[in-house]
Amino acid sequence: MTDKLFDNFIQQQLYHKESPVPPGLWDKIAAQKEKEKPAFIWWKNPKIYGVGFAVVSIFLAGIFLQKQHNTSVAIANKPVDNTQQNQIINSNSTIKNIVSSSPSIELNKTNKNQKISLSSDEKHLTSSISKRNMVQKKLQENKSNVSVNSNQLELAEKNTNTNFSYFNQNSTSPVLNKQLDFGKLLTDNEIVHLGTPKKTSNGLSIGVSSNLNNHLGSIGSNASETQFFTKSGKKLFATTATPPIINLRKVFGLDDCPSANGSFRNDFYIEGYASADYTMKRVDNISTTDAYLAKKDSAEKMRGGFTLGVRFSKSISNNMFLKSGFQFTQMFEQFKLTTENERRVTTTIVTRTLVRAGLPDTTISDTTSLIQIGYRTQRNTNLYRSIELPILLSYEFGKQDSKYSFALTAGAIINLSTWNNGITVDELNQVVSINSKPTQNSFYTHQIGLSAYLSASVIKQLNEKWSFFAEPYLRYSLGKNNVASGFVQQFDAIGINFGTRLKLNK
Amino acid sequence: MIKGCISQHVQCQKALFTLYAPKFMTVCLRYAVDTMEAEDFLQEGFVRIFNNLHQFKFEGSFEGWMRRIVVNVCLKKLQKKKLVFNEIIEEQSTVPSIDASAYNHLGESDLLKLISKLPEGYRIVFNLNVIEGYSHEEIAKMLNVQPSTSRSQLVKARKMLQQQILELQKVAV
Repeated sequence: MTDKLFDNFIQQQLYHKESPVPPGLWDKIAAQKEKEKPAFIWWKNPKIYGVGFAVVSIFLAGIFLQKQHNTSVAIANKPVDNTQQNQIINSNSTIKNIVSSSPSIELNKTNKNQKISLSSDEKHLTSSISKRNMVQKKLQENKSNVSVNSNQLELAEKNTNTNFSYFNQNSTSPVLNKQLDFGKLLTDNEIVHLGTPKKTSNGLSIGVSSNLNNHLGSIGSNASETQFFTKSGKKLFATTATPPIINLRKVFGLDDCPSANGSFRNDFYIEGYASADYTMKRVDNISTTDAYLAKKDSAEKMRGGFTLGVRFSKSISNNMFLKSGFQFTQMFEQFKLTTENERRVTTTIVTRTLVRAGLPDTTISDTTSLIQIGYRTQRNTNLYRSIELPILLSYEFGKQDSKYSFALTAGAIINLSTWNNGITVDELNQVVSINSKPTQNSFYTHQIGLSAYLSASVIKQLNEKWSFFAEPYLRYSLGKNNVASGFVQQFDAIGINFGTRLKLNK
Repeated sequence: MIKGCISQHVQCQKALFTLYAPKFMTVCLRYAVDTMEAEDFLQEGFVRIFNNLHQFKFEGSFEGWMRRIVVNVCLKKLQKKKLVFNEIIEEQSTVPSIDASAYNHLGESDLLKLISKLPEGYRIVFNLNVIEGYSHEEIAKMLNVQPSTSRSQLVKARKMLQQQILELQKVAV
């Protein structure tokens, strides 16, 4: 039987052979798995980074929406100017703006002369008296009679078609701790009588009556929401417990129309930056030997890098920016491999002439080989270069024109192209090139892939147009390369971007 | 089942273990000195399979992928014990050809026992080349030795195994 047949026989016999598994082995495996569970499982799981990024994004979006909401409240709290009020008065509608910091309000409309009386607890009235005076003044300007005493505020309106009551948009009840948002104007010539609020088992209820048969309003409330209705069932307004309506057009800055508090921020910037990077490499074994990876690791040391980039920044709200552009990254790696048993043979030929008396001279050539056994060290600086596309979302703290502002930025850096230059050692301990071209099979695969980017930056405004910023950042690689070589390696970096920012619009 | 294992579902992992453990036990027995050591290898191998399952790309044989991990674990464990490739002085330079009928009496268990009696270096190279099908270059990489060392170890291992089979045959006769 030949060796080949012998080998085949053995393989056929043993390759698929099954042996009894010791009982209890599964329990041991389960126990070991539990014991070896990494404390920071997220460190190796890229999905966790996605979730983390989503959480940060949601957090930033939450801050943004909260700010948006506060802005809308601020707009509503602004006093109505004379021109607006005149317009309201001249219209055929009844507009109610009820000023009160207390829900203990009573508005009585006695008859069609539109005499309105507001009653309130004295202590609550005191806190809002200044606002009422302001309204009183405005009403007087519009030929309205307003009388105020400690418990009662009477508003007499000469204009039979126009009635006023003014609610503070952000009135808060100290008794029930219930924040009310009266953000809408009542129309349809409605006069509403609001009774003193009563606390019920399930929240707030406010009695409502009206002398106008056609416009009896009602107010209902529960623990989470308070709503106001006309007699006809039309919803008038609700408390702030109702979630704010998200205006996506506004969130993404699609509406360039100015809002009530001034023009919407719609700025374009171009940012140029450069950074010195501290680079790190992670190598994971897939199917090669640990001995090889240890040798490779000892031969290679990361030696930093740099990044140059340009990116455009567009405000998508007062504080939020979307940034994208191009950047060039270069990482340096020192390669040093010492191989043993390197032999160098030196051949030496020594020629001597023997001079003897009476005899012809004799020339003797002696060839000697000198073998030197020693170490050989190969050094090289490897370069890893990439062109990348950052897509970042940034939230900027501080006012628009403040001298200093701070920003948090998170996003992804997409690798567009990578090319390497240098050498490394392969599993056979041979030095191989890592030079890569897109069409060429290389020891390293071509793409580095996707990275997560997180940074915090300080921005100093130099003048109206120019700003300077410093941006410490962390870049964590999510993509993997070199799977074909039996291992994967990923490059991470920390650094500080220094750059300037130019405002492109006026 | 693979996806369930990736999601760390214990039931799926147990099913995978039940399905493949007997085969991989044989693999471990071929590399280990005894059953206790083989059990250690198998335990470590499955833990590593479960930890690295997310790296399986659903390309090629899944069993082959797992087997490779188990073999790597065995080698790693053996390398920790300072694997030595001994040169054994051979008493007989040539082994008489064995008749094919001699193998009829050989069972799988007998073969396994004979292989386990081989010196460690011989046994590993023989297992890797003859049974797992690795080339000498691949074996050299895995064991951090020269391919020529792998070749010579295989020749000697084969010779020694054939000799043992002959002796077994004589006893049987």
